[in-house]
Amino acid sequence: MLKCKNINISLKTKKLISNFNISIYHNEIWTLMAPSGSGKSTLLKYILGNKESDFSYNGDIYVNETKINRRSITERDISMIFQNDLLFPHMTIIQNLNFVNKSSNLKAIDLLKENKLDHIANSMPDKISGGEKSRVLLIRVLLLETSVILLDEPFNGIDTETKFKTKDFFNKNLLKFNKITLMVTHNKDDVIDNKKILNL
Amino acid sequence: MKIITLIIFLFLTNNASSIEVNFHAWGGSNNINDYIGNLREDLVDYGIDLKHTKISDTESSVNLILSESINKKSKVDLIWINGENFQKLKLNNLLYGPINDLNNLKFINLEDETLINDFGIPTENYEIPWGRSQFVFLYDKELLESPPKDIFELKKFIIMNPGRFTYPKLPNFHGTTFLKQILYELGHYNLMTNKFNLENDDHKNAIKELLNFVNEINPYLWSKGKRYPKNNMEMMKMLANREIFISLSFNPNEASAQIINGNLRENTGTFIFNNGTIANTHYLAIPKYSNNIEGSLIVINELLNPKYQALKMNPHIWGDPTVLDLKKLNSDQLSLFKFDYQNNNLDNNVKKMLEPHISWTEVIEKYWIENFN
Amino acid sequence: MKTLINSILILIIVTILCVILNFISKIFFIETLFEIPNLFYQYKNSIKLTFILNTSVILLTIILGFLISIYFFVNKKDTILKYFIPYPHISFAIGILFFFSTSGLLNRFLNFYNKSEIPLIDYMSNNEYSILYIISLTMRELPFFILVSIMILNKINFLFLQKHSENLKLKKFNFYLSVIFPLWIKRMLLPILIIISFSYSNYEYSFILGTQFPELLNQELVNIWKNEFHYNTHNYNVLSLFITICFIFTYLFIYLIFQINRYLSIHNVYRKLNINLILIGKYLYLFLIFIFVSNFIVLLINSLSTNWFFPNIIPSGFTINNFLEIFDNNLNLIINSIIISIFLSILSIIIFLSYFQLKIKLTSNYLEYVLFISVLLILIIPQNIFLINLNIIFNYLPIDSELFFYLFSLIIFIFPYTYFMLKEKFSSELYKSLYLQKENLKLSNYKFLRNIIYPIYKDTIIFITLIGFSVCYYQFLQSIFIGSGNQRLFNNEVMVLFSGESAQLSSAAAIINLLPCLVLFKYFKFNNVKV
Repeated sequence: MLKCKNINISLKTKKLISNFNISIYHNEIWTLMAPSGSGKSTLLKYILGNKESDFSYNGDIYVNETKINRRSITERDISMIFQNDLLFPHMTIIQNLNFVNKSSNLKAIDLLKENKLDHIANSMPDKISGGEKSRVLLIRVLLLETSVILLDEPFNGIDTETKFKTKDFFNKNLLKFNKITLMVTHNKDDVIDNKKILNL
Repeated sequence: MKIITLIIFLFLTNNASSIEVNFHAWGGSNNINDYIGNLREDLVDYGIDLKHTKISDTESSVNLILSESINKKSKVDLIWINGENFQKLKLNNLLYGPINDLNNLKFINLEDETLINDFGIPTENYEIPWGRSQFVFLYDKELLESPPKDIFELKKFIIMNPGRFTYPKLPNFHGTTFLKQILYELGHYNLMTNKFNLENDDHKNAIKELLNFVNEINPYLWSKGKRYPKNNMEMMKMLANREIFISLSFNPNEASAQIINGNLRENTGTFIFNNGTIANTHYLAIPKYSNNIEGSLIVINELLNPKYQALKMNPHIWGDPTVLDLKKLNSDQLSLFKFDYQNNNLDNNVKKMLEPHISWTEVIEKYWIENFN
Repeated sequence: MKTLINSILILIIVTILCVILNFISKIFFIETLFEIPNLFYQYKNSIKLTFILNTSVILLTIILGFLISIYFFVNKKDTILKYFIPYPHISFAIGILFFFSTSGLLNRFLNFYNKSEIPLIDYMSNNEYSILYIISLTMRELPFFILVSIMILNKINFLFLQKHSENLKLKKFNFYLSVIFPLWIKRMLLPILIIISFSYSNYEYSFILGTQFPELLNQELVNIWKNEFHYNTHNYNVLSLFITICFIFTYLFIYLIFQINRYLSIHNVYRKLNINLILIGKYLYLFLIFIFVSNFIVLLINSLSTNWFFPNIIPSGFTINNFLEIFDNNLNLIINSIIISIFLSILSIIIFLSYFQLKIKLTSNYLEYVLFISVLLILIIPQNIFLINLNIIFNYLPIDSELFFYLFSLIIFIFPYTYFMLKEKFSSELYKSLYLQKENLKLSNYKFLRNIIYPIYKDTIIFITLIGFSVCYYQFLQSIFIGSGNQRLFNNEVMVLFSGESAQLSSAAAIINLLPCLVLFKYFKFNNVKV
């Protein structure tokens, strides 16, 4: 379970997030809706453990009942897909995936095959489409085997038709691997689970 | 843009309209550079701009003269020379001369065998004597109570004190001269006045003996004979720091001159072998195709002036013995030649040995490089 | 004026291409190599030693350069490092010798408890001199390498990658070695080539540091050039061919090693390891500073002393006479060297500024390609080989002015730096619109350069002048390979004084030699460099 308690974020004197509270259980995909510039990306990065200068933060974060405020990004059981996330440009897709794979029971190539993506396994990252890229990004996060997954506008820049398929792909896989998911977006079309929406 | 024009202007006017004489002379010693620098200031009165091209070996300048002679040109106007380099230029007929009508030639005894024969080659006034040299050893008096009297005592010293002696890498002329000195000490003095002949068994045996001797001392040299210093200046710095105990020089007043300059310790002395050591003369010559023969002649004349010869002999300035015949000087001029030697030099009457025939130099260099390089 | 400058530029390009053609024609000498196998055996040891020493230098430079620059990148500071970039090679080598040689300062400290009057003879044996050569050449190359490396790290967006890698739970060691390093090395190929080219043409280190080094190929080349000047073109053709082959092999060897690293990192062999590279970088950085600072201090004390014999740690007396003596004899030469360097670095900027004006009008990119390749080759071909070829070309020209040839051979080596640094700025849209304004407002070239280009690009132009000045001021080989040795810079004089009798005088000359650029580089900002 991911639990955020009384999170406050401010930029200099301007308050961006005040008293943010949420609890998310396994197999839940929550969406946080807010307009651009409201600080939702900053909030996600704070949960991940990345504090930026100029901002001031307070509030507690728990994963599975353990307070993790003092842990570094590497130590937290959380991973994230950034807005405009990156695949290492000097490696192919399968190399990118194998490179981070720590799991003993998951294999990158199997996941690609399951999702009919094995034809791009040996392509370079700049040769694949936006929809493929976001799917590869999800597979990469899945291979990390963290309990919590944070998504920052994961379907940005994907056309509506592809977006539908991609959303389906995300939903299927996140539930299959029993993840705790928090997504932020400003676009209503991006929401995966319509019952679990939170407006800032 | 104005600044650039100004710089170009400065650049062009930098080369004023006086006669330029390019003097190619070894530039490794500050004393010598100072000496030539002094001369340069005096020559301005004659309208001569003396340029000291500081070379590290004469051979490259000689090769420059040779290669430029194809176009009948020479960038070298005056050169400090002797021995095989002189032979090379004279054989190719690339020297201006004979030079007979210099005013200051009257101070020189032109019948002196040691002046008119350069490594067995008659100079015929194609080169003019400038200074005398004698091969000497420098040593640290504190570390060496009685210096070796002959080559066998030196060998004993080398074996008793491993790593404390060396000689410059051949073809450096200090290194070559040291090997020639060994041959003399092994008793081949008379043999070596003749041209080296490969057919001659005596000559071959002499070389064999030399190589054996060098082989015997080699493992006891500095760095076990794997490396050699480039020149005697490097050896002198090693002597000053006591890395080695004995160094070589061609200037009998070297110790005094360098102690005054603070480059050697005050307890540095000079010694030679009982049978004497090799002495030779160095000269000045003008390449045939030089543009400024007139200017070069003025420079040579000035260098033979008793004033400059006395400065050359002064241990505070340079320390080389003069080539002038002191009997031909008047009392005023003679008074210039009195120096305070601080007891570090030799007396002037030690035994001098002539250079062997020039062919031996090449043979020694060839065999040494083949066997020990 | 403008046509003149442009015709100079074209003349230069033609000359460079001639040099390159000449260089390529050497390949035909491979045939003679097989005819005379003796030549190979004669230089066998030299080839082995040259290859091993230079390859080690380059490998070490790359590894240390990477570690120090990531430390430097994480902890941004404008440090003392900038003063080391223009530190002259000759002065550095002399300082290294006085610090590490048998009677050097280090051995005197080691002797402190021993209280011996005589230095130990086994302190420096033959192999240690090779190590000294490697260390000193590496250390001297590092500051420039780090500067370029930091510029590259800026470009590959280090912080962005770091954030992502943390999210992917990569260990720091893994991140540096598998992500940053391959991206970095890919962009560093040109600087690495420059350093290989430099180490194959350097003469100073082997000459100053050890008497056993005449076996290095470059020293053999200089000896042959000096002694067989124009007689035996065959021998130095063969030698330059050997140098070229070694050069290429070094590059291939380095390339192979990094391919292996790439393979290892993609298959994630480094995952289990966790070494704090930043900390290692920090200590290496401190060591680098120690080497340079101790170098400067040894030179300074030595130059201010009356004499400083072995076991004394402090000289027996102090004097400034050494400096006065150097100034007395060489003031003309020092001033000449400074004027030549300023003149040529400014001339080089003017030539390229006018070229970039011309370029806008050109419809085809033909000239640009030719220029780019020529300038690149100047950087990559080892300087000694380049100069020999240049000399051969000069002999065919009807001009008979040594000074002109000498200045030409100096300015050629400023060009690459000027060109590459100006290129980025003057290929931009901003420059194009400025130029359009100039045409529109009917400004003269001079007014355009002085009132528009100079104020806008002031920082860049000053920076390039600084680099051009220091590159020119420390040229060394021209005096050997071009002309009769009558033309020279003060840098050459330092070497002559080094082979003389006084250690104090050569230190004083070394100190004077490093002053002009040290003073100028005070205005250099390490972190602001974005060219």
